[in-house]
Amino acid sequence: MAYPVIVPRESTEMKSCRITRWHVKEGDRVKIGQSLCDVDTGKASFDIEAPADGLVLALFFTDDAEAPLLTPIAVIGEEGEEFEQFREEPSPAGNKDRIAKMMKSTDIDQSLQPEAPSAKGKSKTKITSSPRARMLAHRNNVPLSEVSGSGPQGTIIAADVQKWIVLHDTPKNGLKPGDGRTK
Amino acid sequence: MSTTGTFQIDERVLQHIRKGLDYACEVYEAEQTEVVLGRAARAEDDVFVQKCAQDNVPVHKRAGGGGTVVLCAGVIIISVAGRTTLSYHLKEHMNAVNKVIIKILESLGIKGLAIKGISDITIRDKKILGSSLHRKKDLVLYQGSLLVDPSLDIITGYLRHPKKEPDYRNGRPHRDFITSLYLEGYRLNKSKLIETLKKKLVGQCPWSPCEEEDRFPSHFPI
Repeated sequence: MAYPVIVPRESTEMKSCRITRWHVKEGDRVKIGQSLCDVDTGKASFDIEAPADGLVLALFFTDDAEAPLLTPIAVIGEEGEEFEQFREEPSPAGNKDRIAKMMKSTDIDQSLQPEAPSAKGKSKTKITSSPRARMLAHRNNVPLSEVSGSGPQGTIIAADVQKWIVLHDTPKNGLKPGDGRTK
Repeated sequence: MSTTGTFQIDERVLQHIRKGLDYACEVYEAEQTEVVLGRAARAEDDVFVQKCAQDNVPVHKRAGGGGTVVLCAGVIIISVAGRTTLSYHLKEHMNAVNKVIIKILESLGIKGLAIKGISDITIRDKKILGSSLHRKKDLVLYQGSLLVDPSLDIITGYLRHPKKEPDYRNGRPHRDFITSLYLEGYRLNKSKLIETLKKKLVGQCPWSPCEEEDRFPSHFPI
């Protein structure tokens, strides 16, 4: 399963970030939590970590490029997996529709559907999620009840939340689409 | 231009943490005039580079993000490093320290302090402290510079108007945007102020492990 890597929005004042340096290149194998790149938001600098184990399938921005928030900057997955569906295009809304459409053709779409209540009519179902997923969801106002997990026993992991954000949010910034992107 | 990457003192503060301390803090007055860029800033955008060269003012780059600052006599630098259990929350980490600093300054009789922009401390809508953050895994470094009694001519003389500015700046030039405790009528003994800041900041890590589970419970009932 391919995971987009996004820069979280840390505050309403934060509009974009600059990727100061990539630590990986396309084709590198990475572990979950491994630092992929340094970014600078204008106030803070920090690492963006790999949301999952896998290969770096694509880097959408170069060193020193300005990247909109909540936009995929890279994709982690396995060899041969498609990743172009995560590349943002000039019309963010249209692009997200396209991503949703493409994701429906894979097993990913199943994970994006809210769980249906069980036939036995349990009124309360527990959603298990990782701390990182919960924090990412909290920071970006993502309702975890709408995110289904791809982790062990359906646990929601950060990458699941990131996918939800990609599908449901649009970058709020003044950047021109395509600025600093790789081809 | 020199690009040391980080101040020696900041590096020392970070070393304390890498060696196992939970928390470390340094407070000191700038000894020489120097320009310090944020990690992603470009000197040609933010600084009158030729003037710096003419005056032998070094231009450095720090580890943290944030805007470009001029450090000189009268500017107190506050470096705080520690570990945190919270992912991201960059603004919260910065302002946890800023809130402690405001309390300390208020205890010294300074009034009208507020946090504005993302992480500036102001008096009467003018900036007296700017701060930035550097995060590497669970290690966090806060860097702040407090304008106690510097010459604003020195500060404004080397800095161009920044490309990005906080909303509350409203396009004001540096001269109308920044102030100092001295210009606001507070004549503080700098040595005493440094000691007070050190004592209070060292005694209380603003990022002590918190009730993460309370804030982000592991199970959400549908």
